Amino acid sequence: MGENSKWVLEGTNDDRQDFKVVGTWNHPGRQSWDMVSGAAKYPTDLYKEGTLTAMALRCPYGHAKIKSLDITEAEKLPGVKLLLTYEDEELASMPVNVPSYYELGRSPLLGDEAEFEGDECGAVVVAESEEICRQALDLIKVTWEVLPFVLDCREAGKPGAPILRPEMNPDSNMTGNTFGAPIKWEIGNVEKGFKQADHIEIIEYGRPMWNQFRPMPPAYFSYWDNDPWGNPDGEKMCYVTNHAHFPANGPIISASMGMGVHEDKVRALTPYMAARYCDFVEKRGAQLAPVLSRRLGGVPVRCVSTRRQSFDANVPQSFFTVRIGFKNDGTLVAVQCKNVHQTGARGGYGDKTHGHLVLPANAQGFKSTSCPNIYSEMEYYVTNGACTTADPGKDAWEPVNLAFAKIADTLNMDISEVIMKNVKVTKPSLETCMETGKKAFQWDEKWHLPGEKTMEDGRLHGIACRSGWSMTWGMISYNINLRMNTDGKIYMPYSEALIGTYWPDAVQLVIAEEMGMKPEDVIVYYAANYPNWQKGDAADRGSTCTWAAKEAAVQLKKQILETGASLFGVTPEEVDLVDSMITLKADPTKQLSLVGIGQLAVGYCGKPKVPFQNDVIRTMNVDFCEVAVDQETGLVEILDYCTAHDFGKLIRPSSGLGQLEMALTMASGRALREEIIWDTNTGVLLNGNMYDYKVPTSLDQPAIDTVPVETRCGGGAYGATGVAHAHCDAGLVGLAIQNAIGKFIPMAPYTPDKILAALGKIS
Amino acid sequence: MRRFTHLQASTIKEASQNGARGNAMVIAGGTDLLGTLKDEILPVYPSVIIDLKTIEGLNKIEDEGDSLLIGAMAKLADIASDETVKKHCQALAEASGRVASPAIRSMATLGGNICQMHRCWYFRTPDDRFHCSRKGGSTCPAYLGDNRYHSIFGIQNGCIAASSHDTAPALIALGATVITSKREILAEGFFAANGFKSCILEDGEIVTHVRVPKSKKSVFEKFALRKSIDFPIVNCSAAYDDKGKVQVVMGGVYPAPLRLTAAEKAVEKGITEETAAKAGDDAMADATPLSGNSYKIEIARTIVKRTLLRLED
Repeated sequence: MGENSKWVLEGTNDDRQDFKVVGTWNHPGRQSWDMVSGAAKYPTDLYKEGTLTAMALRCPYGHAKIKSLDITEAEKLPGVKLLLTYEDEELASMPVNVPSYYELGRSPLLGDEAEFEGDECGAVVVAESEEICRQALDLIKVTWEVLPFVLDCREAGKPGAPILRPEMNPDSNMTGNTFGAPIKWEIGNVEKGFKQADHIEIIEYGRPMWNQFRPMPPAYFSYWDNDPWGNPDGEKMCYVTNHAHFPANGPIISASMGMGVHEDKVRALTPYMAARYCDFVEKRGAQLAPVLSRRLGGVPVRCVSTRRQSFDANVPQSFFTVRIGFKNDGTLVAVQCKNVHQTGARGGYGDKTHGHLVLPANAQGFKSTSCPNIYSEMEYYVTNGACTTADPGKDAWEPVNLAFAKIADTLNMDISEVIMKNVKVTKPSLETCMETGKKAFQWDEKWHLPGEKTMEDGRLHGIACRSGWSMTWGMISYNINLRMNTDGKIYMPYSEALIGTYWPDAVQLVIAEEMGMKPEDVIVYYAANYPNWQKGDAADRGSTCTWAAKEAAVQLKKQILETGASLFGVTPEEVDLVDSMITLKADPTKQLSLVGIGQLAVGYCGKPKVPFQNDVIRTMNVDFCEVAVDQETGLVEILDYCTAHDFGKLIRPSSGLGQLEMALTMASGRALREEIIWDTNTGVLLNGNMYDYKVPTSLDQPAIDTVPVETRCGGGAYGATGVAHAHCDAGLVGLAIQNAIGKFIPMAPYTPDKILAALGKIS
Repeated sequence: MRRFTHLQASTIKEASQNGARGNAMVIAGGTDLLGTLKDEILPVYPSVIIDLKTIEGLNKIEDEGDSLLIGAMAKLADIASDETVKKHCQALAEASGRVASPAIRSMATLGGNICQMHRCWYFRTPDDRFHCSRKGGSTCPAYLGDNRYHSIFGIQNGCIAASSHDTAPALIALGATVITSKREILAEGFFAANGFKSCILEDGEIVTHVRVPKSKKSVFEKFALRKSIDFPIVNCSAAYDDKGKVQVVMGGVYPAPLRLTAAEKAVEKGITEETAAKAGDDAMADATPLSGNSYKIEIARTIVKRTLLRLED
């Protein structure tokens, strides 16, 4: 067993035990209701009378440069209102939005070189309809210089590979925050460690590009109108739509940066962006739409793309080769891990997956083990194919769990024992997750050695488990403004794109809990022009933001009780807030409504002292998977999925458990079917649609058993932590398949062809 | 989607006459055609769309004694749940119930399903990125490209796409006849890679009905990566004809559904575990996989065996 993590909760009432609202069900919530009822308006839903459509020219080749462009005929087409090319001075001078972190070698907003098939390039047209836009684009005479392309980051790293971005690195395709050289990291002495090992094994794991942004083909809607003050600075107000959650006010940043106007002159029209979680890729339409609208006197302009074109931002390819040394008792003593990772097109996005980890992902994961000797090397390569964005899969832990599985396989051990033996900090979180999860999954009844169990229907049976972090990071100080209005309700504004994490509804419960309000009397609302909302980067709003909201709520409650006490003629200690009423403690029948007692407000900006990712994460999770493998067809069915996730404190169960189900569904699709496929002869995307890119349907969704664990070890309110990226890995299913068939399959997804090959049925 | 003229036909004759003029397409349920138009997949964008939904009586399922007469506009969901179809043409009911998703089946029609174009991703890539032989090009890009879902029995009219209609193997196995505005065609001869079409219909020729002989037992099996809204990697139907002989037809292995005579021969003397397995082996004996789809042979072999065992079950 590993070490014990000592953690002292900080912040007001973080050790609260008497929860009345937090952790309970049946709170519709504003965001939840909006999204479930269909009331939520997404950018694609927005329209105003007179709206014009904008579309960009798209490259038909895997990689190409414009040699010449003739727009004469296109400009003459009736209904065309504006046609700009990459030579337009304003477009050429527009800075590309830098969402966050560091990006090297960014492509221009609208250049003359397309880095993948479907890339926006060369020209953008605004017309009365989408049909006219398409006709105009067809009339543009383009001469392309077709350039060599590379779709696989391993190929991009080979000597002699075409150099795709010579301005970034003239010598190789290695780019991003590796600065042209691999990131290397070592603790201990790896070779010495291998000499101490009783067993040395090499394992491999790879994954393809995955798409994660399908639900909403992006549209960017923008218009200019008078501001409420009558444009005293001569500048109208620019209305835009959300497009990314990095930063939280992405559209405002994009528009203001692009046009050089102050942020208070830009207003976002809708909070919804729909499942573009961790989408770092700048959306050119978001920056083009306000510019095109301004050029046309402020008329509404809607920049549209097709669903296929929304496959332009994907989770990067990643390939691991891991050499492990371990003792006869399963103790890991040496790790040598090499990771080849993809940054994709437009340069440098995929590295952001790990940019904020400081350490390469493979080192990050193994650092959380007790292994004393670790060497990690990571290389990032630009490719064509598509842009890459952040990685919701936990590739920090995938090689670690693979190593644990290999140890278990070699030594005929139970993998759960190998995990507990080798993870550095096991108490209380991992130990609790493992115990409760194993019980819920009936692990002890189901476990067997690899390849040793055939089901009654002839299929092979396999199970596996894997551990991972429950993400806690708190890089942002949340700026909470809390106000009690004359209507007796509590208001909290925010301003950011909502991606389906339901954090406003969790914040509502925490404020209600701390203040003694009914949840329906706490209104967390979207304030379109609230530029003081934090603009950083965090996936932890459900936990860290609730912490700041709690602190603000405590302060506001104090003010209310002081006012209420004076109305009762008692001291503040003699009154309390109960169900939104100021209540005399000595006689709870005596209550005062908050309605009409005035306005009170507090401002609080802060964050809990959450460890950065480089530190050991205290809150963990363990996932379990049971599969059946059809030996004759290679088809894998997930029979049971179980996740024991340490939420620290589960604030809003419907959101938290729902997010677990979502993450495991996502993981199951990636494990069994999903991959971006190009024609390798041309670089053209083949499966950019919902038939051929095979996300799970509801019938494919496995039974998912969610087991919430609450150790109060997180950094958010009441020790809460998030779900975020945890669980979205494909590797667990692969480990269960290994338990079924006795062989590791080195590449996801685990499709029938790979299973049949592993079974020796095909070559 | 581009603009087009939408005509609501009131008779087959009217639909047929308009369909024969210039560049027209007919629309039944529209579940395939609308996406096709949106993505501009057709070699020439149609200027006229002729709606068949306004023609009365084309959605009926009628019992003719020895056979069922099913209107081309009968919805797949209705066919799947129709008690007469389930009783006498079980394979067709099963196949109709496995097409796409419940939402699509509630709109999609039998006529539309048998006329839908191939799902080859080279053929279907928007904006004619691959000018394939089905659209007037000189080559089939799938042949040297990613052909994991393509034919394992060779080429037909320059195409190696795999047939993707779920109802087709069932109709052929049941010995159905496709009735059009011009003629009657045995289902077995109806399907083919034919320009951008997947059947032998001529311009202006419209499917009106399908006559399906009753069978004492027939079954349908489908293998796909997803349980819903997925086209088959392979599908298979087996049925007893009126003489008690087993008919076996497989889809997803050739541009048209393929009658597996070798499999039929293997079970001539009865279906057992051994003969069913032999039927699968014999059916695949002449398979010629492409660079990326030899796995389909193993799957097809198994699905033939399982279909036959279900027929006997």
